[in-house]
Amino acid sequence: MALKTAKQYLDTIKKMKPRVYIGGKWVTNLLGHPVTKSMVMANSAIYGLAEDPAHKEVMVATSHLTGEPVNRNLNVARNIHDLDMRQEMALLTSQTVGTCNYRCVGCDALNSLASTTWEMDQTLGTKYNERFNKWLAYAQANDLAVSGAITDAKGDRKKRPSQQDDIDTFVHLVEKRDDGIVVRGIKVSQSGAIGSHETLVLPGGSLKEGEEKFALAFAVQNSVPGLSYICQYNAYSAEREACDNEDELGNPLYGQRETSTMYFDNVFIPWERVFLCGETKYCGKMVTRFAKAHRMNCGGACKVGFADLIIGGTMMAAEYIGVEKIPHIQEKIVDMIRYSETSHACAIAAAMRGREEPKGSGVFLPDDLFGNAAKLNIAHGFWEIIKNAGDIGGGLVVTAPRLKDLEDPEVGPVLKKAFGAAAPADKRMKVAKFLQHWTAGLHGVGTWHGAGAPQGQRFMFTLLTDFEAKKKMAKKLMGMKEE
Amino acid sequence: MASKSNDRGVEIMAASIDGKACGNYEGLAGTFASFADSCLRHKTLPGFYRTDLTVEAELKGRRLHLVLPGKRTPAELMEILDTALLNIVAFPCTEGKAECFIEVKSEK
Repeated sequence: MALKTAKQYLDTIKKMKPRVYIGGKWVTNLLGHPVTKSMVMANSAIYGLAEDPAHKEVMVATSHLTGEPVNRNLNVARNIHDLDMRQEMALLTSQTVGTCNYRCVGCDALNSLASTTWEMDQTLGTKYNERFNKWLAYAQANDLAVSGAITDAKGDRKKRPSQQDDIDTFVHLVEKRDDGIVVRGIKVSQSGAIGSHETLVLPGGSLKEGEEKFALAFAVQNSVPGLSYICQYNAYSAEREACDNEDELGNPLYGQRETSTMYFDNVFIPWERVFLCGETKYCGKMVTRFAKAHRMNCGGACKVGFADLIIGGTMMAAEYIGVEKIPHIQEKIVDMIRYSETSHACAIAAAMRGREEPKGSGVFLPDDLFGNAAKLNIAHGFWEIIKNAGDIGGGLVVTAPRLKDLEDPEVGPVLKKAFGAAAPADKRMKVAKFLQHWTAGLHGVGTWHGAGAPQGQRFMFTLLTDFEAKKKMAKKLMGMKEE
Repeated sequence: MASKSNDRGVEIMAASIDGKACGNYEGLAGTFASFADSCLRHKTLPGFYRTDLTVEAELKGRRLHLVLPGKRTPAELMEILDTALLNIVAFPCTEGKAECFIEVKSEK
């Protein structure tokens, strides 16, 4: 079975029992808690997209290992078309669920692993790529939901990992055994592991000689003893827990964006799942290759899908109060489209200018500069988009009573009078709640930091740009002689 | 306890309850080692926690003997084992020859 249906995914997840803590409680049934359920239902919808013939081109790829159809979330890009369809998948999934495709980070992590383990085997004579391919073939054959964990807790940023007062702030090696390794430490801001079968863990950044114990990449089954998840908890979590009808919420089925802090308390990883252990020199490459894939997808496609939803909601809000034809409203909506489509253009360019990396590996990665441009552009653009949504949506976006209050015999008639405009009050309030989800929710900061904070992209710009070549062109045109 | 992996890199685990074979499970090579580590070092099954289910475990080569607390019927034991194996990402299979063995008994 190379492609699971949404129902088949849910059947497996019903039995999965990762150790999950949220808002003061340990969760024993992921589908029994309203917040964890929203994450699982989002993943289920992603599986559902692959069943739809209309989305086959985007959601289904051909495994380079077996020649079988596989979910694109488990595909290694082997050409430009794969890269293009990968970013289109990020767009489609965001448009569909209005939250994370929780398999997305895993997808970009496995592409980085395919590339870097190949290079390590060529250079060092290791067997990591062979191991990785067997893991991947298994994941593809069972269409596993694979998430990714990259960011270490990091502790005091002035100190290197081994200098931290508590080195658990970085995932690290505790013991090497004949059959595998034992690891401990903390990864943070992890999206969707709780509702996935496995997680790919990569180093959080470059490492130096002497830091070998932190140089680790592996796949872990998400319910192994010793692994715990402490979920984020915020006003949206509390609201979802408290409400008696999820239709009241801004994103009823799929919620905001659920992340957790992953705590590895002496977790055993068999060698067959270890893809880097001690090779510090390759950590930077592994992370950079992950980042270049993720910045194209997260920045230039995923957030563009969100923007499509926000623009749609904002236009409805304008129509419902009769201002859709006012020039400055139209101008602001055009600005929202400009930010969003510019980022998507960068993602498409990153895919089209992608190349095999390293040569001979067969693995295609997006163009670094355009991928970083996509992310940096949307990091700033997304705030502008939600600013305009709040502007056009009006104060109601954050001042509306509950939708349910419309049914109250005493206050309902008052609310209908207050908020009825060019459309009835219930429509206005529903759209206001939808826009609240975006403008006053977690996505602004999430977009800023997801795939790395903008300072990372600015650094890559300085690294990737040939300033001397630009100076040379200018000098030539000015007729200035080279010194 | 180094695992033998076949060409596909998977391993087949045969499960038995109270001495009776009850099915095979396929996992990525190393899955049996993960499962055994859970039982031997963490004293629990994947997907369960010490407070729920403390197991007594003994490993002889590629054969793991487990005793689960509480008097449970074979059907209950099978359900627990099935859940534990799924939680370590091993699935029921009908093909292939088992190279690892998990034998489960209920406490007397």
